[in-house]
Amino acid sequence: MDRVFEQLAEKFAGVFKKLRGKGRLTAEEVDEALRDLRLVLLESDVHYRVVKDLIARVRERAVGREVLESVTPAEMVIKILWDEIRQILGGGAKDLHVPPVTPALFLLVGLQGSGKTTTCGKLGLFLKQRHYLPVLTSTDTRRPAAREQLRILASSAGLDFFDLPSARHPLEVVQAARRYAREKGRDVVLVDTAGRLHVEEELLRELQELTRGEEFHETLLVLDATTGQEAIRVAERFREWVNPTGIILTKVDTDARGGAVLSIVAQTGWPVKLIGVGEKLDQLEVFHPERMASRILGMGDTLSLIEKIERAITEEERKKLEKQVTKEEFTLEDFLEELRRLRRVGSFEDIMNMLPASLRGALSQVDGERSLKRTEAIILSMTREERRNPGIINASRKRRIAQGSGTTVQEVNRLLREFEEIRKLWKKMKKGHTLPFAKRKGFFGFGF
Amino acid sequence: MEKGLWKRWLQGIGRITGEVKERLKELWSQKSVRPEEWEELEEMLIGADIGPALAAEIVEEFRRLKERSREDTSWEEWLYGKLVAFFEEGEHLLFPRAQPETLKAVFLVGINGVGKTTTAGKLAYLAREKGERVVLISADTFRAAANEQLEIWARRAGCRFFRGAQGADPAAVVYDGLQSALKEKETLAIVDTAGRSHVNRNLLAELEKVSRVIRRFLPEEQVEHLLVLDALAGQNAFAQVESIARVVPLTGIILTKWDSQAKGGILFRVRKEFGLPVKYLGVGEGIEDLIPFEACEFVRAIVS
Repeated sequence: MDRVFEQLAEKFAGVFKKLRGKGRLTAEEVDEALRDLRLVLLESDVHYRVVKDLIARVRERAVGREVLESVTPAEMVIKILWDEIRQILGGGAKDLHVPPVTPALFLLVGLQGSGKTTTCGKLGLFLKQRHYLPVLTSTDTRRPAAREQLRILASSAGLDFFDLPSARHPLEVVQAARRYAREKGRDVVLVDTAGRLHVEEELLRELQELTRGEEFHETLLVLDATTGQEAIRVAERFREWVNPTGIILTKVDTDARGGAVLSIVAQTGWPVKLIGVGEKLDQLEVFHPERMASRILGMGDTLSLIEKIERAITEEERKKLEKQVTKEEFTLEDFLEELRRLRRVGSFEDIMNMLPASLRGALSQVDGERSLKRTEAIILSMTREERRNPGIINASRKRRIAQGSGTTVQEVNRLLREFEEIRKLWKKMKKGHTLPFAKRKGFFGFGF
Repeated sequence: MEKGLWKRWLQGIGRITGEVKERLKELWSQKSVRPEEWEELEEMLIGADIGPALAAEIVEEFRRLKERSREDTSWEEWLYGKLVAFFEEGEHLLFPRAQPETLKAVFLVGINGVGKTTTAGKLAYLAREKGERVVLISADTFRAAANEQLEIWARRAGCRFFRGAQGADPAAVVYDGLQSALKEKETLAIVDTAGRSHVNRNLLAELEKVSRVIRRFLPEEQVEHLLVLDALAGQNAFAQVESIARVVPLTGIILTKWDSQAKGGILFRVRKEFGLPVKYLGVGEGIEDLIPFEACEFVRAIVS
C-alpha cells in the first residue's frame, strides 16, 4: 500500500468523520471541509483550475439550504461534490457509435506510451464481439516494430490486419485500408497512429492532414490515467489540430486516481467512451462516470466491486451473510467463508485494486493467492471450538495447528493477528450498518 | 553538452523559469500580498507537478523570507539554495564504485508505456560511445513485438542483442543473457523488462526474481536498478516508485519525455521523498536523445 495514498485515505476518512459528527453545518464548516477536499482533488491530479471551479460550485450549493436543512448534512457535501464530478464526467456512460456506413473509420491518437497500439487491438476485439468486422491498420512508421506489434495483436485476436509497407504517407495507408475494407466487406477500419508529444507541431500537422484527407467517424484520444497536470494542455493541443470526438482512458488497472480525465472532460466536454483495465485484449470496458467519480475522490472503485461481487453471491449466501452480520462476533469460520467467496469472485488482485485505499491497507496483509491457501489450511486444522473462540488458542494448540496444516507457529500467529485486525474492521462496519460485501448504503459502501 | 540538446533540456523547464519566476518577482516587489495571491502562486507550483505539499512549503518559506526581508536579501539566492539542496554533486553518474573492464548491468523497470525499450536503446548507444562493450538483453517476453523493437535499437546502437522466446521465463532469459555476456567479455548488459502495472503482485514478484538473478551474478556495485518514469505522470509516479522499490533495490531514475514541457516539478518530489537520484533525461525519439541529468546546472538554469 502506498504511503501517500494511505495518508490521503486517512485524511479523507477524517473529513468524512468531521462532517458526519455534526447534525447541521455552518458555512465555516463547509469551507473547512472544502479546504481538505481541495487537497484530495489536487493529489488526484485534477488540474488546479478545474479544482477551483469545482470547489466554488460545491460551496455555492453546500452553504445553501440544501445542506443546512438536510437530514444528513454530513453526506450531503461529499455527495454534492461527487454529483458534480459525475455530471462533468458525462452523467451517463456513452457508447461507442458505429455509423451505418461501410466502412466506418476510427482514428486513435495520443502521446507516446499512452497505449494506442494495445487499445487498437482491444477495440478490434470489442467490436468483433459485437458482431462487427473490423480491420486494423497502422500508420506508425517511426516506432520500431510498432506495426509488427499490431499485426501480432490482430492475429492473436483473430482480427484482420492491413498493411501497406510501400506507403510514403499515412494518408496513403488509410485510403488503401478503406478500399481494402470495402472490397472485403469489413465494416470498421481502426487506424493506429504513431505516438507524438503535444508540443511537436510537425507531427500534429501530419495528423491534421490525415483527418482532412479522410473522414473519420471517431477520432479517439487515448489517454493514460496516470497523466499529471499537463493533461489539460495535451487535450488543448490535440483539440487545436485534430479535434477528437472522445477519449479512451488506459491503465485504469493501476492505482492512479485518474484526475487527469476529469480535467480534460471539464475542459473539452469530450465523452469517455471506453476504459482499458489490463494488458489482455479483452480488458476493455465501458466507462461509468459514477465509478470514476468515486475513484477520483479516493473512495476506491466501490461500485464496480459491489457489482462484481453481487454476481458471484448466491441468494442463499446472502441470507446467511445478513444473518451473520447481526451476530455479535465475527469468527474464523466466517473469515474462511469470506476468503473463499473472494476467491470465487475473481483474482485477489482484481479485488484488492477495487477496494478503497484505507481498506486495502488492512487487507493487503492477507496477501495473495498462495497465502490464501495456507490460511485456509491453518483454519481447517483448528477445532470447531478454536475457530469460534480463537482466544483459547494457546502455545500448545498453536503447535498442533501448525503441524496439522504444514505451516509454522509464526504463520499461525500472523493469521491470528490479521484475523484480529479484520474482526475490528468488521465491527466498525457493523456500526456503520453496512454489510461489507453484500449490500451497500449509498456510495459509502465501506463505512468511511 | 551539445547545443541542440541543451536547448531541449531547458525547454522542459521553460515554464518554471517563465511563469513562476515572473510571479515570484512580482510578489517580492509588492508592498503587501493578498491571501489569494499566495494561493495562486501555490497553484502555479502545483501546476508544475511539484505536488501540493512541496508547493505549500515553498510558498510558506518565500512568504516568511519576504516578511523578514530587507533590501539586501536576495530571493534568487534563497531559491537556488532551496532547490540545489535537493541534489548532490555528481549523483547522476552510473556505477561510481564499479570495477572497470568487468561486466556491469543496468536493469530497467517501469510501468507500461513510459519508454523503457527506447531508453534501453539510447543508453546502449551512449555506453558504446564511451567505449563499453554492450549487450542489450530483452526480458520482455510478453508484449507483442517487444523483442523486435529492441533488436532494431540494438542494430542502431551497434551492439549485440540477446533475446528469449515469446512467453519464456524472463529470469531464465536474463540468466542466459548474462552468461553469454561473460563469455563474450562484454562490459555492460542492459536489461529491458516488460512494462507492468505496479499494483499487479504477480508481475512484481517476477521483477523481483529477475533482479535476484542479476544480483546473484554480479556484485552490488556492478548493478544499477533504474526506474523509468514518464515526465508527464502526475502524483501516481510516487505510487509507482514506492511499490517497485519494495521489490527491487532501485538506485536511480530515468525521466523520459522531458521534451514534453511537463515542467518536471516531479524531479524535486521524487528526490525529496524517495532519495533517488535522477540519472538521465529522455528528450526525444532519436538515438542521441538521452542526456545525463546534472542537477546543479539544472537548478542554475532554473534560477538564473
